[in-house]
Amino acid sequence: MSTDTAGGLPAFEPGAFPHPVGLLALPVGPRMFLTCCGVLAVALSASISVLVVQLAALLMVAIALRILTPLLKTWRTVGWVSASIVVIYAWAYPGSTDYVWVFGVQGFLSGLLIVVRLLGFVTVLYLMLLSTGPLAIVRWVGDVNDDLGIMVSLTLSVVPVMKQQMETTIQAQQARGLEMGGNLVRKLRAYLAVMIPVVVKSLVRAYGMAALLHVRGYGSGRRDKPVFRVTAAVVTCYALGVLWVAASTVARLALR
Amino acid sequence: MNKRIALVFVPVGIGINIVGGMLASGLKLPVFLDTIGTILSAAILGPWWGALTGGLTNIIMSLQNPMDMWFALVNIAVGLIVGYVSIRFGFQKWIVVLVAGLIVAVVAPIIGTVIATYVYGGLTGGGIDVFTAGLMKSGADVFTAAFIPRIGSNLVDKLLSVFLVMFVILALPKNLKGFAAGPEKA
Amino acid sequence: MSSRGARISAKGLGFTYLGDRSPALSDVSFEAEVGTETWITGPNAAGKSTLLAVLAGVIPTVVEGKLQGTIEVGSPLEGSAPVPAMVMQDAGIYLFRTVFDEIAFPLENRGVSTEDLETAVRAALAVVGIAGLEGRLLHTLSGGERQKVAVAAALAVDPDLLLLDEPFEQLDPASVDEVLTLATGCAADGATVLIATREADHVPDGARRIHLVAGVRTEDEAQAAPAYVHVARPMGDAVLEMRSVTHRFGTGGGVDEVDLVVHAGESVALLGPNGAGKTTLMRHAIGLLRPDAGSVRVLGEDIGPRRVWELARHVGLLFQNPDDQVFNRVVDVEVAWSLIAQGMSRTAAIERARAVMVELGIEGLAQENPHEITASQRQLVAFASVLVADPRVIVLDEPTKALDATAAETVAAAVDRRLDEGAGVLLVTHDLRFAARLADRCVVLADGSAIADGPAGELLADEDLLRRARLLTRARPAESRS
Repeated sequence: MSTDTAGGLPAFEPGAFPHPVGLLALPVGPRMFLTCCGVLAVALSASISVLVVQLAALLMVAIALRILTPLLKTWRTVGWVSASIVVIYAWAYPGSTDYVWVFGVQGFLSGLLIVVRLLGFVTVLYLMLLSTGPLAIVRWVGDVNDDLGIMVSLTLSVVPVMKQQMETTIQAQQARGLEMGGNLVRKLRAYLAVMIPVVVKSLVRAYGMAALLHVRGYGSGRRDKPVFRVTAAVVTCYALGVLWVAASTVARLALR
Repeated sequence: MNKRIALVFVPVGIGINIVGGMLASGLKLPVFLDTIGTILSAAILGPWWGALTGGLTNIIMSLQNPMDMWFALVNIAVGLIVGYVSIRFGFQKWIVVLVAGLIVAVVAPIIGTVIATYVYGGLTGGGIDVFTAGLMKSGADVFTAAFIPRIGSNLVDKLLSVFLVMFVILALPKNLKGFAAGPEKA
Repeated sequence: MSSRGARISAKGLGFTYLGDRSPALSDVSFEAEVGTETWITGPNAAGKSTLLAVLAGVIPTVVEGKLQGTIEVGSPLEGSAPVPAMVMQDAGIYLFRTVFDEIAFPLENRGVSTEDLETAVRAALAVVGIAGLEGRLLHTLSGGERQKVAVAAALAVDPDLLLLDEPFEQLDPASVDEVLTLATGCAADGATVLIATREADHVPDGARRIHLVAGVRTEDEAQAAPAYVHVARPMGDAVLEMRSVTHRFGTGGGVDEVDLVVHAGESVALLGPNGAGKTTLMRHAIGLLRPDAGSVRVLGEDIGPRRVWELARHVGLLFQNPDDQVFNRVVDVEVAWSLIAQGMSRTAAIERARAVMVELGIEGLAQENPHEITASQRQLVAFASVLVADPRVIVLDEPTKALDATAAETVAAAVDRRLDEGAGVLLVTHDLRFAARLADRCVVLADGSAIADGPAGELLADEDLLRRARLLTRARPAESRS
């Protein structure tokens, strides 16, 4: 709904992503489909080499889109858990028969498979997010279903307000003598002393928003419906998705 | 509770999930308390809207951390369970809330562990992995090794969450309680 | 702006909110023709917002309750329905993140195509004088800017029926004039305009009027401002001292080298328009904010090393909105709560609470759920919960916002008694009438600095000063004050 006005895209809270990259003006719907196919294909992959091939292909796409560095940065979000998986599986996996010192080879390979597949998921999902941007996705949700779109938009606007209300309530209760600390029981009482006003005010706000939705004409049925145009790029996208899943299935069956 | 109200309650429920989690970590509580909104939503509006609150929370968090989306199933289940309980019995009696809390505290980690086992090999990258590793070493399969530590933390978190929601509902004015008021008054 | 207008006919209109015992509206009848401007006046909780909600269709579509009587809102043109638009009382409630989305939404719902949207939004903002704000995030705007966005959203759809609920609350006088001119312009073009307000000062002479009191239509009685004789109380030591307090916010605004002293037995009104820094200064009194420069002393002691909850024993702060604090299930526990939080036994605390409640006349509410009483009663409960700890310094933040006239007088009388006992009172407000009732001295704040500090009688009669401080709208003669 919001267009690029003078001043650029507003920052998405929390954190901001780089601007969406023009991908032959590919709409969000086909991208979503492709992403789902990607996740499915990765899920179906049962061997490390197949996964590495897919990862390499995805990284090349990232290079073409010039988002390789941000993409690799997102791998850090699974850095610790990946290390954990490889080490713990190598050490503790119950099916190992060959050992190098304390680490079992089968366990290591098993862990490695999980890690590479995990990286596959991460790469597919972040590639989608980085190249499309959260705001375009939110807009797309609204195009698909009015009610869903409204709910997502309302959430994005209500969260900063609720954060402010939480801070105000913390201050108001402190001004009556509430200590925001102490033993567990005191902390739980403090939790209630802050959450209850926040919840009540948010529910009251909800009624206000429902009234606003009504007076601003929501549900009167006269919205401009978005036009879904079928272009060559869209068709290629869908075809690619299907092929990807098919290839993965074939690979899985072949390497059995 | 008509659809128009539900349409705005869900965003508020998602907001409560987020803010509730922030407050818990701000107070340095040893639990997450990030499903308060889902439970509240489900108690007041019923299972479908509650499930939507839970699922949509993960989807919106995915706009920043896409890997959050996997656990949407867990929160959807929480919403469904609490919602069905609330429609039949309301959400203001100790015993009802306790039973609902126990069911959730068991079902949530089951679903969560299945997902975590598949995507993350059952591990988290955090301290809890020590237990999982130990259990694996002593012969347990991956699922069990991942499940047992999780059920401990879930019991505390979910039981605390449902009771906190019960206290909130008790403090609400009658016209806001929805299904949570109990079957006779709904 | 061209409009077609709406013809309204209401007969015996009554409405009771779901769960309420008494009706919000009773047997209200009136008519409004195309191209007219009608003012709905009355005190807090008179039913003004309820009436507007019925006209907008919010009741009964969104809000549940018992609706009685008949209401017809028709268009002069056969076969079409009038387009309503409403500016709600609380502009802090909005739907989207950005100003653009907020204005675009009603336009899209009325069928404006995506290509025309951008121009339409820009035009709507320009009409209200806030062009260029479309990329801003709503939660970063000031209260006045948000209210203008709400007005823009209402006017953007070219409404036949324009409803304004308390438009004066957040806006400074110049903006109020702008908005009223726009509304009158709408009426001149044929729209039907209804404006609800509790401040009868703003109603132009000779305007069409509907006066509501407790949900019933009555004739407005011009109330003579009661003359109060200020008791000359012996003043004791300073209970609250702010010397050269400076506090600047990163986003701009704050206070600059403000001096403010309150003595025992003295009540000081801190006056100023929105954004002047009153709330900032007030927060320093209880340690919620700490000064960048200058000092704050409570009962002679620097508050530096003290935590907020420790200061709460000596400083009682009544927040503007009781819903920020109220969270217990029953009123008497709510009133007693700060004593319980500070370690008193529950029974002793509730006894003290009952005593204060009797003083304020709310002992009958003791077993009620605080959220099921009226907003004015809830503010009295919050006030009781502040008094129960017997603070030497009492700070009241905009108390007349939530209180109706009787409750405001109850609060004033209780404050008088505390002053007699040696407490010091800081009253933060932009309600000049209440300041006249209670204050011994006034400090006027504008843009973060104190521009005046003197006896209440003098300052409140100084129209020039008040206009400079943007506390007066239009060139209205100040009412006689004691």
